[in-house]
Amino acid sequence: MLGLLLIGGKSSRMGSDKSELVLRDGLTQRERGIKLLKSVCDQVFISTNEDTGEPNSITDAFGQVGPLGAIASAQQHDSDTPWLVLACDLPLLEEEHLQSLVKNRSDTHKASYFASASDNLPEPLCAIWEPGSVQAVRTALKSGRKCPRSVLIELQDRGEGHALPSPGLWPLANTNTEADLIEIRARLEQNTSVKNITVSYFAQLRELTGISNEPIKTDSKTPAGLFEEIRAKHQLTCKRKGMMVAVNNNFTDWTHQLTDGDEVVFIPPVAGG
Amino acid sequence: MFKLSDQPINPPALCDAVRDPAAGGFASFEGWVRNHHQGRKVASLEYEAYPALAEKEGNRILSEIHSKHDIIAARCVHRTGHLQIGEIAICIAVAAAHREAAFSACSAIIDAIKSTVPIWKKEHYTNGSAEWVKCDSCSGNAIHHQH
Repeated sequence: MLGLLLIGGKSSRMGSDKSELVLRDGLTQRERGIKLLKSVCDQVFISTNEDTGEPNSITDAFGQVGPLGAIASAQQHDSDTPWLVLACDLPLLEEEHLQSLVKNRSDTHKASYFASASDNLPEPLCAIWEPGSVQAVRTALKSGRKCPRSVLIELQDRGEGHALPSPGLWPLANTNTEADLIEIRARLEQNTSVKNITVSYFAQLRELTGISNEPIKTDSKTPAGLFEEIRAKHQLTCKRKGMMVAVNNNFTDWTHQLTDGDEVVFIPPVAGG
Repeated sequence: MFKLSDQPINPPALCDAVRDPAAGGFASFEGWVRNHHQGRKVASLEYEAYPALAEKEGNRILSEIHSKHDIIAARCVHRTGHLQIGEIAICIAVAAAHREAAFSACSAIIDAIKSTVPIWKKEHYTNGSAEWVKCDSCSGNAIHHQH
């Protein structure tokens, strides 16, 4: 098995600075990602946007098209060996999760991956892309698609994907936003406390959850972490992006520090008038 | 003042509420329930608000517009509940000394309300289906989207 670490680039991928963040073990996310992959792969490559001349790096061969292009480039480099593709920005991911992925992989399927804790859809950036997936990846790229998750969904719909049970909400949490970082840091430092929060639902969220409000015990620091818990609990597909949040009947931002007794409302795009 | 109402809106009452001897211009906007949206035949609309924050945010908008435009008074009522074609979903009334301020404030109010006041609408179509407007990503319809 080969390992491919997505460290992101300046543009479309995860942002160049993410790979240099040091969140645990004194290692940058990039260094830690390599270490994790080395624990289960025979050889590890770094995916880069541009040719940096580094040994063991694979430069995007299909233009700046993000992670799907990186996967295709790795498969072009070696199309006979399965690739364990990993994003570098998963600070709470442990070796045991990768070991479980490798151990429970199915080589009679075209890909093996974890189901997302929140919406049950495939997690594409901590997944094994078998040689059998080469064609699906190429076809998707050729038709202008950029979303690796959509390729796994397609494989899954055809019975060609092997989904493993989710390892939970946090192991696959990434550092996309400031609020994500707050949640991840709190868990790394074991600096969390249980809070009793009331969450109220309106309109589509009320219909999707089937309730108007509920008490939630959470150890999340921010509404962002709480929202991920709610998504997992109610299997919601909606994302934070584009939504607003209110705490105690005031708009606030996703990094707001929750306190015991807070009332939280998640606000999907509004449509009054 | 911004209010939610689960009863039909009475525009003349709103007009009277902003009437003032110093006002030389009055502008109003009514949003009506239309029988079509993006090519689909709409049978009715259902509005739902997050009441505490909707009224707070609506009033914040009215104060802000009042401070930025040279107007005398502004009122707004937004309906909630299930509305039929032709019913008034929202009514805004603005009085000002001169017409320009009345027109521009009225227009700014409806734009701001549509963008931040937590009110949602569900379109019921003539074919029996229904959808919350602007929330494809919540309904699960967009799971197979392409980035």
